[in-house]
Amino acid sequence: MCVRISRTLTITEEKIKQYAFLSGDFNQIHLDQKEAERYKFKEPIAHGMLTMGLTLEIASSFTEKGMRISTYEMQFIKPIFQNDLIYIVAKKKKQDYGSIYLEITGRKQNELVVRGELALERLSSIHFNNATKESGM
Amino acid sequence: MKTEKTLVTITEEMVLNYEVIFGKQNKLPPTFPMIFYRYINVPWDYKTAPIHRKQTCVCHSELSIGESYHCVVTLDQVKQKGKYMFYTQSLVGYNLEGSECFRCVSELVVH
Repeated sequence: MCVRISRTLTITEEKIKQYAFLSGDFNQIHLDQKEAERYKFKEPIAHGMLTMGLTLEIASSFTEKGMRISTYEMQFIKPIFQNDLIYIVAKKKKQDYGSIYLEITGRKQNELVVRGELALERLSSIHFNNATKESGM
Repeated sequence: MKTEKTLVTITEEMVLNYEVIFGKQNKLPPTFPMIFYRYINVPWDYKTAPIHRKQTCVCHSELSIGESYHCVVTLDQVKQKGKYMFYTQSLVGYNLEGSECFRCVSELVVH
Protein backbone atom coordinates (compact mmCIF):
# COMPACT_ATOMS: atom_id res chain seq x y z
CA MET A 1 0.00 0.00 0.00
CA CYS A 2 1.36 3.43 -0.94
CA VAL A 3 1.41 5.80 2.02
CA ARG A 4 2.04 9.47 1.38
CA ILE A 5 1.47 12.18 3.97
CA SER A 6 2.08 15.89 3.48
CA ARG A 7 2.09 18.93 5.73
CA THR A 8 3.17 22.54 5.53
CA LEU A 9 4.99 24.24 8.34
CA THR A 10 6.27 27.71 9.01
CA ILE A 11 9.29 28.21 11.22
CA THR A 12 8.54 31.51 12.91
CA GLU A 13 10.97 33.89 14.57
CA GLU A 14 9.19 33.14 17.83
CA LYS A 15 9.82 29.39 17.47
CA ILE A 16 13.51 30.05 16.76
CA LYS A 17 13.79 32.15 19.93
CA GLN A 18 11.90 29.54 21.96
CA TYR A 19 14.19 26.79 20.67
CA ALA A 20 17.28 28.85 21.53
CA PHE A 21 16.06 29.05 25.14
CA LEU A 22 15.09 25.38 25.24
CA SER A 23 18.37 24.08 23.83
CA GLY A 24 20.74 26.77 25.06
CA ASP A 25 21.92 27.24 21.44
CA PHE A 26 22.23 31.01 21.22
CA ASN A 27 24.42 30.93 18.13
CA GLN A 28 23.70 34.39 16.71
CA ILE A 29 23.26 33.17 13.13
CA HIS A 30 19.85 31.99 14.36
CA LEU A 31 18.94 35.21 16.11
CA ASP A 32 20.71 38.22 14.69
CA GLN A 33 20.30 39.72 11.22
CA LYS A 34 23.81 41.24 11.04
CA GLU A 35 25.47 38.05 12.25
CA ALA A 36 23.50 36.02 9.69
CA GLU A 37 24.62 38.41 6.93
CA ARG A 38 28.22 38.06 8.10
CA TYR A 39 27.86 34.36 7.22
CA LYS A 40 26.34 35.23 3.81
CA PHE A 41 22.78 34.34 4.83
CA LYS A 42 20.08 36.83 3.86
CA GLU A 43 18.36 36.36 7.24
CA PRO A 44 18.80 34.42 10.49
CA ILE A 45 18.52 30.67 9.85
CA ALA A 46 16.45 28.14 11.77
CA HIS A 47 18.21 25.65 14.04
CA GLY A 48 18.53 22.30 12.26
CA MET A 49 17.10 20.55 15.32
CA LEU A 50 14.09 22.86 15.32
CA THR A 51 13.31 21.91 11.72
CA MET A 52 13.90 18.25 12.47
CA GLY A 53 11.63 18.34 15.52
CA LEU A 54 8.82 20.19 13.75
CA THR A 55 8.82 17.79 10.79
CA LEU A 56 8.22 14.88 13.18
CA GLU A 57 4.58 15.89 13.39
CA ILE A 58 4.20 14.13 10.05
CA ALA A 59 4.61 10.81 11.85
CA SER A 60 1.90 11.56 14.42
CA SER A 61 -0.65 9.30 12.72
CA PHE A 62 1.72 6.40 13.46
CA THR A 63 2.75 7.42 16.99
CA GLU A 64 -0.91 7.91 17.94
CA LYS A 65 -1.39 4.23 17.06
CA GLY A 66 1.29 3.16 19.54
CA MET A 67 4.34 3.17 17.28
CA ARG A 68 7.58 4.74 18.42
CA ILE A 69 10.16 6.63 16.36
CA SER A 70 13.39 4.74 16.88
CA THR A 71 15.64 6.46 14.33
CA TYR A 72 15.50 9.78 12.58
CA GLU A 73 18.13 11.03 10.19
CA MET A 74 18.10 14.34 8.37
CA GLN A 75 20.35 16.14 5.93
CA PHE A 76 20.11 19.94 5.93
CA ILE A 77 20.61 20.79 2.27
CA LYS A 78 19.71 24.48 2.13
CA PRO A 79 19.20 27.04 4.89
CA ILE A 80 15.69 27.63 6.21
CA PHE A 81 15.00 31.22 7.18
CA GLN A 82 12.49 32.53 9.65
CA ASN A 83 8.92 32.54 8.30
CA ASP A 84 9.82 30.23 5.40
CA LEU A 85 6.93 27.97 4.43
CA ILE A 86 8.16 24.38 4.11
CA TYR A 87 6.21 21.66 2.35
CA ILE A 88 6.96 18.33 4.01
CA VAL A 89 6.20 14.97 2.42
CA ALA A 90 6.59 11.54 4.01
CA LYS A 91 6.48 8.44 1.83
CA LYS A 92 6.58 4.87 3.03
CA LYS A 93 9.85 3.39 1.83
CA LYS A 94 9.51 -0.12 3.22
CA GLN A 95 7.83 -2.14 5.90
CA ASP A 96 9.33 -5.01 7.88
CA TYR A 97 7.86 -7.04 10.67
CA GLY A 98 6.74 -4.41 13.16
CA SER A 99 8.68 -1.56 11.53
CA ILE A 100 7.86 1.14 9.00
CA TYR A 101 10.45 3.27 7.24
CA LEU A 102 9.50 6.68 5.89
CA GLU A 103 11.38 8.90 3.49
CA ILE A 104 10.98 12.58 4.40
CA THR A 105 11.53 15.55 2.11
CA GLY A 106 11.07 19.25 2.76
CA ARG A 107 10.76 21.79 -0.04
CA LYS A 108 10.69 25.54 -0.08
CA GLN A 109 9.12 26.88 -3.27
CA ASN A 110 9.94 23.56 -4.98
CA GLU A 111 13.56 23.65 -3.85
CA LEU A 112 14.67 20.69 -1.74
CA VAL A 113 15.87 22.00 1.64
CA VAL A 114 15.87 18.90 3.85
CA ARG A 115 15.86 15.17 3.23
CA GLY A 116 15.65 12.40 5.76
CA GLU A 117 14.60 8.95 6.84
CA LEU A 118 12.57 7.89 9.81
CA ALA A 119 12.06 4.45 11.32
CA LEU A 120 8.98 3.61 13.37
CA GLU A 121 8.67 0.49 15.47
CA ARG A 122 5.91 -1.14 17.39
CA LEU A 123 6.79 -1.41 21.07
CA SER A 124 6.40 -5.19 20.92
CA SER A 125 9.05 -5.37 18.16
CA ILE A 126 11.44 -3.18 20.20
CA HIS A 127 11.08 -5.54 23.14
CA PHE A 128 11.62 -8.45 20.76
CA ASN A 129 14.75 -6.82 19.29
CA ASN A 130 16.16 -6.04 22.75
CA ALA A 131 15.42 -9.57 23.91
CA THR A 132 17.20 -11.06 20.89
CA LYS A 133 20.18 -8.72 21.43
CA GLU A 134 20.44 -9.71 25.09
CA SER A 135 20.14 -13.40 24.31
CA GLY A 136 22.76 -13.04 21.54
CA MET A 137 20.35 -14.21 18.81
CA MET B 1 38.26 13.92 22.72
CA LYS B 2 35.21 13.51 24.93
CA THR B 3 33.36 15.30 27.71
CA GLU B 4 33.00 14.18 31.31
CA LYS B 5 29.93 12.04 31.99
CA THR B 6 26.99 14.29 32.88
CA LEU B 7 23.88 12.94 34.57
CA VAL B 8 20.71 14.35 33.02
CA THR B 9 17.22 13.52 34.28
CA ILE B 10 14.17 14.12 32.08
CA THR B 11 11.81 16.32 34.07
CA GLU B 12 8.18 17.18 33.50
CA GLU B 13 9.20 20.82 33.07
CA MET B 14 11.65 19.86 30.30
CA VAL B 15 8.89 18.00 28.46
CA LEU B 16 6.37 20.81 28.92
CA ASN B 17 8.86 23.35 27.55
CA TYR B 18 9.52 21.02 24.62
CA GLU B 19 5.79 20.69 23.94
CA VAL B 20 5.36 24.49 23.83
CA ILE B 21 7.40 24.41 20.61
CA PHE B 22 6.71 20.97 19.16
CA GLY B 23 3.19 20.26 20.40
CA LYS B 24 1.93 17.42 22.54
CA GLN B 25 4.20 14.37 22.36
CA ASN B 26 2.71 10.89 22.58
CA LYS B 27 6.20 9.51 23.07
CA LEU B 28 9.41 11.49 23.35
CA PRO B 29 11.20 11.43 19.99
CA PRO B 30 14.86 10.44 19.44
CA THR B 31 15.64 14.12 18.76
CA PHE B 32 14.64 15.04 22.33
CA PRO B 33 18.07 14.30 23.93
CA MET B 34 19.64 17.03 21.78
CA ILE B 35 18.36 19.55 24.34
CA PHE B 36 20.63 17.83 26.90
CA TYR B 37 23.55 19.70 25.31
CA ARG B 38 22.64 22.69 27.46
CA TYR B 39 23.61 20.69 30.58
CA ILE B 40 26.91 19.40 29.18
CA ASN B 41 30.16 21.31 29.18
CA VAL B 42 31.70 20.65 25.77
CA PRO B 43 35.42 21.53 26.06
CA TRP B 44 36.20 22.06 22.38
CA ASP B 45 35.37 25.20 20.51
CA TYR B 46 34.71 26.12 16.89
CA LYS B 47 36.54 28.99 15.24
CA THR B 48 33.25 30.47 14.05
CA ALA B 49 29.56 29.56 14.18
CA PRO B 50 28.97 25.89 13.26
CA ILE B 51 26.30 25.12 10.66
CA HIS B 52 24.35 21.87 10.92
CA ARG B 53 24.75 19.60 7.86
CA LYS B 54 23.38 16.28 9.00
CA GLN B 55 21.86 14.72 12.09
CA THR B 56 21.11 11.14 13.07
CA CYS B 57 19.23 10.30 16.26
CA VAL B 58 18.71 6.73 17.41
CA CYS B 59 16.77 5.71 20.48
CA HIS B 60 17.15 2.13 21.70
CA SER B 61 14.54 2.41 24.42
CA GLU B 62 11.65 4.69 25.27
CA LEU B 63 12.55 8.04 26.87
CA SER B 64 10.38 9.03 29.79
CA ILE B 65 10.01 11.56 32.57
CA GLY B 66 12.02 10.67 35.65
CA GLU B 67 14.61 8.61 33.75
CA SER B 68 18.26 9.60 34.23
CA TYR B 69 21.02 9.19 31.70
CA HIS B 70 24.79 9.46 31.90
CA CYS B 71 25.57 11.59 28.84
CA VAL B 72 28.90 11.83 27.04
CA VAL B 73 29.72 13.94 23.99
CA THR B 74 32.58 12.68 21.83
CA LEU B 75 34.33 14.58 19.07
CA ASP B 76 34.59 11.73 16.57
CA GLN B 77 36.20 13.47 13.63
CA VAL B 78 37.58 16.81 12.48
CA LYS B 79 38.46 17.22 8.82
CA GLN B 80 39.62 20.25 6.91
CA LYS B 81 38.66 20.70 3.26
CA GLY B 82 39.89 23.99 1.90
CA LYS B 83 38.53 26.79 4.03
CA TYR B 84 35.92 24.55 5.66
CA MET B 85 36.28 22.46 8.82
CA PHE B 86 33.95 19.46 9.18
CA TYR B 87 33.14 18.16 12.65
CA THR B 88 31.39 14.93 13.61
CA GLN B 89 30.33 14.65 17.24
CA SER B 90 28.13 12.22 19.16
CA LEU B 91 25.96 12.64 22.20
CA VAL B 92 25.44 9.22 23.78
CA GLY B 93 23.21 8.52 26.77
CA TYR B 94 23.54 5.46 29.02
CA ASN B 95 21.07 4.32 31.64
CA LEU B 96 22.22 3.81 35.23
CA GLU B 97 23.03 0.16 34.44
CA GLY B 98 25.43 1.31 31.71
CA SER B 99 23.41 0.29 28.63
CA GLU B 100 23.29 2.70 25.71
CA CYS B 101 19.81 4.26 25.41
CA PHE B 102 20.29 6.87 22.70
CA ARG B 103 22.89 8.17 20.26
CA CYS B 104 22.69 11.52 18.47
CA VAL B 105 25.37 12.08 15.83
CA SER B 106 25.82 15.61 14.48
CA GLU B 107 27.77 16.66 11.42
CA LEU B 108 28.70 20.33 11.47
CA VAL B 109 30.62 22.62 9.16
CA VAL B 110 32.54 25.71 10.14
CA HIS B 111 33.49 28.30 7.51
